[in-house]
Amino acid sequence: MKLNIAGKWMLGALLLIAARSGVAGVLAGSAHDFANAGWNPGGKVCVTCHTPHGSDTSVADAPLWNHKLQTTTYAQYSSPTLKASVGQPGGNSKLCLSCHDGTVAIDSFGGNTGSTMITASAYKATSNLGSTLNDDHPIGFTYDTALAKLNGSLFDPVATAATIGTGTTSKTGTIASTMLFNGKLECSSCHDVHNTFTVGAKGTGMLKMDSVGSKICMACHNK
Amino acid sequence: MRELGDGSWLRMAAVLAAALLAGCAGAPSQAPPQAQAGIFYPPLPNPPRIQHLRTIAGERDLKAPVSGFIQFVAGNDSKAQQLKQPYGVGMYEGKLYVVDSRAPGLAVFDMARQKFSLVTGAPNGRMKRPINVTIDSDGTKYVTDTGRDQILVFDREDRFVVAYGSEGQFKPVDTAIAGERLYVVDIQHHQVQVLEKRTGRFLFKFGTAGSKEGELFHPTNIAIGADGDVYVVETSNYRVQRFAADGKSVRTYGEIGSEIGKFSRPKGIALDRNGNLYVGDSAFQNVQIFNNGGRLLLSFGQPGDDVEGLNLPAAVAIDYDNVQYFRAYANPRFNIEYLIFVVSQFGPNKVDVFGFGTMAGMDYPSESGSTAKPVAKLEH
Repeated sequence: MKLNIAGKWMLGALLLIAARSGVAGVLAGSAHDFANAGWNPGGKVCVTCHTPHGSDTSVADAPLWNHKLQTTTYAQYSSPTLKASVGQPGGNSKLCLSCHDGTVAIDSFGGNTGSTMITASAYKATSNLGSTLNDDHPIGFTYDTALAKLNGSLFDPVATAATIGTGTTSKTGTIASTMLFNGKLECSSCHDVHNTFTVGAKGTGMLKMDSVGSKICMACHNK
Repeated sequence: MRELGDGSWLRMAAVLAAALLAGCAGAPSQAPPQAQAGIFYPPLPNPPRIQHLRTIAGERDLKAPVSGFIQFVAGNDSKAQQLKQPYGVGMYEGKLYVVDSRAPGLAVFDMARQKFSLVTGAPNGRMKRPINVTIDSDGTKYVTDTGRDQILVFDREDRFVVAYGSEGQFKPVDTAIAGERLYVVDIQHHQVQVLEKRTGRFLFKFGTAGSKEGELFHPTNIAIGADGDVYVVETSNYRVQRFAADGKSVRTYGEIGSEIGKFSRPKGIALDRNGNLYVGDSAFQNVQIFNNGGRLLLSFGQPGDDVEGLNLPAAVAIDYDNVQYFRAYANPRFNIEYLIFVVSQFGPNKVDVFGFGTMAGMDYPSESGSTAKPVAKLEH
C-alpha cells in the first residue's frame, strides 16, 4: 500500500537526480540522502526505509523453540487500525518515528530543548493551535469534512485546493489528495520524505509547502 | 433550604441512601491478577517459554483498582502521572525504573510500596532527553541523556551525584557496566567509549564509522555477556556486533531483511545467563531471541494496542532478582525463572513485563547443538 505511493515518488526522484545537493525536489543531497555515508549496505540509499526481502523465503533456519511457524516474514510498522486510539501514529508515521526517536535522528523541532515530539496528547477536536506552535502538532487522526465542521477553523480537506512542491516538481490537488493518507494526517502530510515535492533548502525539514509566513500551516488552518 | 449550587449535595444524598440500603460498605475487593489462562510464546499447546505477565503505563497501574461506586463518590483520578515516551528500563530492589524521554525524567515504580515518583534530577542533574538507564549492583544508576550529551549518575537513593561527558565528547545512547568499566555507546561518533565508572575518566574507545567488521554505524544499545564480551546493536547497519572487552571485533549477528531472523530497525538488546541474545526490533515490533551462535530460537511480541502489544519497542532488559513482584501474574503451573521487560515508545501500553520459564508437566525439546536444519511446518 504505502510502497505503491512511495514507489511512484521514488521513480520521480530517480528521474530527477541531479548533481546539485540539497535542492528541493531531489532526494540526492537532501537530509535523507544516505548514499554519502558510505555505510552498509554499500551506499544503498533506499533500504533504510524500504527493507528488502530476500528471494529465498523458505524457512531453512526455523526458530528452534517454535518449529510451527505462522509466517516467514514479519509485517513492519503495522498498527491495528480498528483498535488504535486517536492520536496514536499510524503505520506511515511509525516508520518516521522509528528513527526520529531522539537517538538515531532528532525528535524535536523548533530548536527547543528536550523532546517536543509529535503526539496527540494535547489533541482536542475543537482546540485552536494558538500561539504555542513549538508544541506538538497531533498526528494519527482522521482529518475529514466532519472534523473541519466540528473544529470551525479548519478547511474542508476534500474541497480545498492545495499545491505541494515548487517549480517543475509540484503537484496540485486537494488537501486530501496531496497530504492525507487514508484520510489521516501523518508525518508525511507535511514532510515529503523523498524530498520530491518540497520547498526550501536542506535543513528546512523537507516541507511540502513554504514555512515562510506559515503558509504550510494556513493550508489547513483557516486563520 | 439552601440553594443546591453544585451536584455535591445530591451526590451525598445518594451515597447516604446507598449506604443505608447496602449496609456496611467494605473495602473494595481487588480483582485477582489474571492467572488462569495466559498469553504464551510459543502459544499452547507448544511448550511455552515466555508468558506475558502484565503491562505498566503509568501511576494508575500501581493503585489498587477501585470500584465504580467509590469512583462516583470520590471522583476520577485524572492527575495520575502516566508515561509519555519511555525508552530505557531497569529494576533494582523492587523498584522498576523507566526512563521517560518526554517527561523528561526517570519514572520510579516502587512495586513493594506501590508508590510512584518521577526523578527529574533538578537542579543540577535535570534531565533533558534521557534515553537509557543502567543500574549497578550497588544501586548506582547511569542515565544517558542525548539532550545534554552527558551521562547523569544517580546514587542508590536516586539522588544526582555527577555528570560525565565534556562538550563534544559523546552523544550517549546506552551504557553497560563490566567491573569498574563503563562502556558508553556514542552514536554521534559511531563508536564505543570506555570510562572508569567511578570517576568518568576516559580509558579507551573503539569503532569508527562504517559497515565493515570493527566499524559501527548509529550504534544504539549495548549489553555485556557473562564472558565479558560486549554486544552492540547497530541500528543503521541492521546487525549486532560482538566485541571482546578490549574492543576487538569478534563477529556480527544478523543483516537487513524482512524475513524472520533478520533485522529492520533493531534497537534494544539484553542477554540472559545462557548467553542468548534478545534483540528488540522497532519495525517488526517484536523481540527475537538468538542463541550465542546466532541461531534464532524464538520471537515474541507483536504490534498492537492490546495489553501484550508492542508499539515501536525500544529497550529490552532482563532481570533475575525481582521475579517475586510479578509472579502472581503468572499461570500457577508456569515457573518463572527471570523477567523480560520490553518498553514501547508509543501506544497505550508502555512497559510490557514478560516472564521466561517452563510449564510444569510439559516436555521441552533439548537446546540447539545439532547442525541439521529442521524444515519448518507452516501453519495456515
